[in-house]
Amino acid sequence: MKMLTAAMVALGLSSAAAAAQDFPSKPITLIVPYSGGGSTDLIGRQLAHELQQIWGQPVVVENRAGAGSMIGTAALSQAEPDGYTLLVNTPAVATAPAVQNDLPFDPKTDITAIGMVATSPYMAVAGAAVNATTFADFIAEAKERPMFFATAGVGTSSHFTEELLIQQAGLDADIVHFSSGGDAQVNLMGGHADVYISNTASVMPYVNNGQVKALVVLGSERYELLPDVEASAEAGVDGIDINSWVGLFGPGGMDPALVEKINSDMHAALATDSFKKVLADNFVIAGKDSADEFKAQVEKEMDLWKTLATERSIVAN
Amino acid sequence: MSGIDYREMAGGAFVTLLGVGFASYAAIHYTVGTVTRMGPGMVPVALGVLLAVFGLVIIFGSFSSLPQRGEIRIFVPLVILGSVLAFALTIRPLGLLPAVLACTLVSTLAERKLSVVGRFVLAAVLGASAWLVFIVALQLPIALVNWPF
Amino acid sequence: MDLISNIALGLDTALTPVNLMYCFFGVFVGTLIGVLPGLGALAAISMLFPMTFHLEPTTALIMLAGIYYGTAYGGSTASILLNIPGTTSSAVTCLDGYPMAQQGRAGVALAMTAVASFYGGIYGIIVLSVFTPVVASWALSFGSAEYFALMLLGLVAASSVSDASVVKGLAMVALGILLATVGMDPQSGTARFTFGSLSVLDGLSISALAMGLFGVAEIVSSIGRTAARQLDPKAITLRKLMPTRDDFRRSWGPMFRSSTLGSLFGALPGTGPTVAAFVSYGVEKRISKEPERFGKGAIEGVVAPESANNAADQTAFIPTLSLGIPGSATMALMIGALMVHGIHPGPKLVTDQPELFWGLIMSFWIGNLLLVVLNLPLIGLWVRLLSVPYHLLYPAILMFICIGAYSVHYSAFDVMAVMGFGALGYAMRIFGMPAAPLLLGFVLGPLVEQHFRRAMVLARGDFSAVIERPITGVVLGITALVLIWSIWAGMRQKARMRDRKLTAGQED
Repeated sequence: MKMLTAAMVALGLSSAAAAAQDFPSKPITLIVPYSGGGSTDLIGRQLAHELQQIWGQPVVVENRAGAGSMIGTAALSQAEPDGYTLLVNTPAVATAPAVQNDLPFDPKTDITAIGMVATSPYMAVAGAAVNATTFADFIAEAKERPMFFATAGVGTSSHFTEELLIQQAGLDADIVHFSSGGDAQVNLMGGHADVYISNTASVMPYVNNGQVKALVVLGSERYELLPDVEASAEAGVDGIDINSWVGLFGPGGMDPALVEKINSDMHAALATDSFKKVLADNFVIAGKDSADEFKAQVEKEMDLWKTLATERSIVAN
Repeated sequence: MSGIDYREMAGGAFVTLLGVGFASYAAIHYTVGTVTRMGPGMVPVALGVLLAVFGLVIIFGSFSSLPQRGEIRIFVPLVILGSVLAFALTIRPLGLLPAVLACTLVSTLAERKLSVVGRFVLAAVLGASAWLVFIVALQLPIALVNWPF
Repeated sequence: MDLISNIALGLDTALTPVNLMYCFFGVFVGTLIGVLPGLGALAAISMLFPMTFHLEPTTALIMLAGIYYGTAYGGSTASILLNIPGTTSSAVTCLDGYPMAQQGRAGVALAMTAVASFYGGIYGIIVLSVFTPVVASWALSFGSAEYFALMLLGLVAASSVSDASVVKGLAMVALGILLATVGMDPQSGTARFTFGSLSVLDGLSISALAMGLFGVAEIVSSIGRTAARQLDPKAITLRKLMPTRDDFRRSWGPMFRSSTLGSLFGALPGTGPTVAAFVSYGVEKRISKEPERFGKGAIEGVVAPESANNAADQTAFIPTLSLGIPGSATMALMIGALMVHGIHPGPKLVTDQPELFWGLIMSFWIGNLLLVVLNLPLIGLWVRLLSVPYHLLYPAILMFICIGAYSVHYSAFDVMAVMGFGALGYAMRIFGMPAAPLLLGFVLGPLVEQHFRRAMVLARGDFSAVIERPITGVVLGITALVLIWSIWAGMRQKARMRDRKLTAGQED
C-alpha cells in the first residue's frame, strides 16, 4: 500500500523530476546584483566556476548593480523560473524592500530561495575616535558621548543592524549614511565617525590591517572563526539573533524538485577545496540549510526588518 | 538697442520652465528642511528657483541682443534620436547584431548619400565589426542574436 | 638608499617577460577602449577581470592598471578629432581640442596630448612612489566638511569652463546639479525624480549623459555640414604633426599646475580624473593672461585637462593600495583582483608585499613609456580618420556610443537616456547653451550636496562647527575670494562684450 502511494506520487512528479534531472541543458546566467570586485561578487564568481564544473554547462556571471541590489533582483524576478537564471544576494534582499516601497515585484512570492551559500555573524568595528576596547566599555562610552554610526547607505544591512543595536543597547546615537562600506570605514579611520557594522568579509581586512578595532560580534555566542571577539550578549545586550549570509535565489514559482537539485549541487560546489579556501579568505562558513529552511529564514528577516523600519521610522516618503 | 532675439527668448523660457518644473515638483513631494538640517527637497527647490531666475535673466537679455543665425533642424535630430531608440528597443530582446543593423539602417536615413544597397552593406560591415570588437575581442556578455520564442 | 633598492626590486618584477607582456597588453587594450566613444575603463576591466583568477596578483594588477591609465591616453583622441569624448574625463578636452582640429592642428593637439599625458602620468607616479604614506594619512584627515569645501571650490573655480555668457554657463551648472539629484537621496533614502522607476534609483548614468550631450548632439549638428572638415591626406606631413616651440613654451606651466591638481584630486577617494580635468581647465583659464583664447583652440586648454586626468589616474592608486579604500568602481575591481589571491591592500601592503607595490609602480613607468611610443605613430592614422567621409563615419560612431552606453550596466534604459540627453543637447545647441558646465554640475553638484548634508549631521546641525575646522575655513575663504573675483571679472567681460556687440551692430 505504502509502496503504491509512493509509486503514484512518483508518477505524478515524474515529469517535473525529469525536467530537474535534465537540468541543465544550456548555459546558465548567474546575476550578481553588485558591481565587480566586492566580496559577494567574488563568492558568486567562485560559485559560478564550481557549478560550471559540476553541470558541464557555462555559468555566466552578469553584474547588474544598483538600487541596493534591487535592480539585479528585479531582473531575476522577471526571468523564467526554469533554473537558467539565478541570483546571489545578501540580506539586502530583505532590507532593501523594507525601505523601497514601490518595487516592481513582491520579494516574498516573485523570488524563490534556493539555498544559503555562506554565512557569518555581523561585526561591529570602531574607529580612531573610540577609546573603548571592550564592548562593555564601549556601551559606557557611547552613553556618555553620543556616537556616530556609519552606514553603507540607507536601507543596507549595515543601516538596519546598527538601528537594531542602538535599540537593543538603549543608546542615544546618530546614524550617518556614507556611500559605501569602504567610505564608511575610511571615515572611521579618520575619526569622523565612530562605529560601523557589517559582515566579517567587509570588515576583517581592515581589522587585520589594524585600521579599525573589532568591537563585538552581534549574537549570543562567539564566532567559531574569530573566538577572540566578544559576543554582544556577553555584555548584556540581548535580542540580536541575526546573521549575515550570501544566498542563491531563483525566480518565483520554481519547481520544488528543481530547487532541491540546485540546492544539492550548490552544496557539492561548497564542498570543494577551492571554494573552502575562498570562504576561509572571507571569514565566512559554508551554509548548511535546505531550501525550505533558508526560505523560512529569509521570510523571517523580511518581517523583522519591516517591523524595525516602522518602529525606528526609517522608511522614507 | 538692436531688436529682439526670439531664439534667445525661447531658450530663456526653456530654462525657466525647467527650473520651475524641478522646484515645484520637489517642493510638493519632498521635505525641504532647513539649511542646517536639509531635507531631500532643499537642493532641487533652491537650484530650480535659481535656474528659473537665470532663465528670466536670459529672457531679459534677449530684448537687447542681435538675433542669432544658424538653421534649426527637425528631420536630422529625429532620425538620429530614432536610431538610438531603435538600438535601445532591440538590444535586449533581439541581441547585438539586430540592434546594430536597426541602428545603422535608421541613422543612414539622415544623410541620403548612400543607396539602399550601400546602407545594407554599411550595416553589415558595422555589425561584423561590432561582433569582432565586442564579442570576440572584448568578450562582453551580450548575445549576438537572441531568438525570441 | 632605500628608494633605490625598492626601485631595483620593482624593475626586477616589472621587467619579467610575463609582466612586460601583460603591461603591453593592458595599455594597448586601454588605448583602444579609450578611443572608442562610450566604452570606458570600467567596462573593459570588468570584462578582463575573470582573467585575473589565473594570473599572479602582481601580473593581474599590472594588466588591469594598464587598461585603466591607457584609456586616459586614448580618451582624448575622439574629443579632439570628432568633438565626442572617448571617456568622461576627456570631455573637457573637446573645448579646445576640437577647435584645434578644425584649424588643421589636430596632429599637434594629439601630439601635445601624448606629451601632457606622459608628463601627468610621470608626475602622478612620482607622487605615488614618494609620498604615498604622507598622502594617505592626509586623505584620512579629510572629513565631509573638508570635502564639501574643496568640492565647492572646484565648482566655483571651474564654473567658467564655457565660452558662452556667464548666465548661461551658471544656468547649465544648476541644471547639471538638478539632473544629478535624480535617484535615491543617500542621506534620507527618498527617491527623487524617479517616478517609480527602478532604473534611475542609482541616478542617471554619467556616460549616457556625456555621450548624449556631446556625442549625439554633435552628430546631429555635423551631418551634411562636414565638407569643410575633410582634409587632404597628403597634407598630413610630419612637420604638420610637430608642435611648435611656442606650443611647448605655453604648455609647461599648465602641465605642472594641472598635474599637481590632478594628483590631489586623484588621491582623494570619491573624486577623480573627471573632476581633476574640469578644475585644472577652469584654473588655467582663470589665471591666463588671455582667457579669451580658451575655447578657440588654445593649446593650454588641451594639455591642462589631459595632464590632470592622467596624474589623477596614477594617484588614485594611493588610497586603493595604502588604505584598501577604492575611490571608484574601477578601483574596487583592482582591490577585487588582489582579494582573489587573498591579499587585502592596506597600510602594510608596501612593507608586506614590496615586489607587488614597487613592481606595479615600475610597470607604470614602463606602461607610460609604451603608451607614448604606441600613441605618437598612431596620430597619423587617427588624423586620417578625418578623411573618412562623414556619412560613413557617423553611423559607426553612433553604434559605438550605443554599445558603450549599454555595456556599463547592460541596461537598455541607459541607451534611452543617451537619446534623451541627445535631445537635450541639441536643444541646448539651438539656444546657445554650453554643455561642459552641465557636465561639471552633474559631477560636482552631488558631492557638494552630500558632503555638506553629512557634515551638518556630523556637526549635529551646528554650522559654525563646520566652517571653524581649519582646512574647511581656509578653503571656503579662498572660494569666497574666487567668487568675488569672478563676479568682478564677469562684469568687466560683459561690458567689453556689449561694446563689441554695439560695434558689430553698427557694421550690420
